[in-house]
Amino acid sequence: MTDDLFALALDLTERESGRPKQASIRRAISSAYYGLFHALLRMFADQVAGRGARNDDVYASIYRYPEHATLLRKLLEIDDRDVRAIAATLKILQQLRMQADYDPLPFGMGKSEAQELIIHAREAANAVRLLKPKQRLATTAAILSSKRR
Amino acid sequence: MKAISMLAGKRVGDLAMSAQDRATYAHSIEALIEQTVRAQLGEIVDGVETRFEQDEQGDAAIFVDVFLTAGAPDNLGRRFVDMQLAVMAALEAFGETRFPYLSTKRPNDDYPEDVLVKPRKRQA
Repeated sequence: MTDDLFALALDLTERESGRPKQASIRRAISSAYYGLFHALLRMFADQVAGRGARNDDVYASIYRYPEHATLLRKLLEIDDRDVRAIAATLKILQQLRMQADYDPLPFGMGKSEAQELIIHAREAANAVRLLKPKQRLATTAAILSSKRR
Repeated sequence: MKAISMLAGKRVGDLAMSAQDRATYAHSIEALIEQTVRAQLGEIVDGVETRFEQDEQGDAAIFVDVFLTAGAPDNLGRRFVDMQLAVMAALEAFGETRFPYLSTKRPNDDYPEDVLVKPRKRQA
């Protein structure tokens, strides 16, 4: 699904020839954010429940466990360049996603800028898949601790 | 720079920091960011603009627009990530805890038809 979200996002930026519509750029950025977010959730749920459990109800519960707001704070605290790069990209996209979805003020992002961000998001999702076991463990631990009060 | 470094331990919102201190501190942060961005991207940087605002989570944040020259590649790829991480590291080393949101702006980008794009501030 994540690859499809990035493809959809890039398609949206090309929906109009010439200057895009705000709605196209807004939906493109939102899709890119969720592409990367789902890549991270997939890694987390695979780590906790196992890939073999993907069709189980418990897998879905684990997949939906992380909270958007606190998740990033914990990830950015991890002393690992690869994980920080993923977390920074997700944080930038989260900020833009919230503006894109909720802010009534004009969304002043150009087509090229949006396309570059989508490609960054897709590369970050690939980086999530390529995390080494130790990095996956640290990331999973950070996500688990993100709900601790 | 020593005087600026002494301010680094204080947060911008601290009551102990005077308005003049805040302005000096803000200028030092802007200079640090621009220096770091230019060190990463070199000649393809046309200018850097920094704003201090709250993000959508309500946290104090730093927004950095990096204006690229016409000769910049369409996609910076890994260089963008390296630049983002370098700015984060430079700010953290300075004692600054606000997250820097970097974005790249290209001349002649196609902006949405119903958006009026503000002209860039003139560089000093």
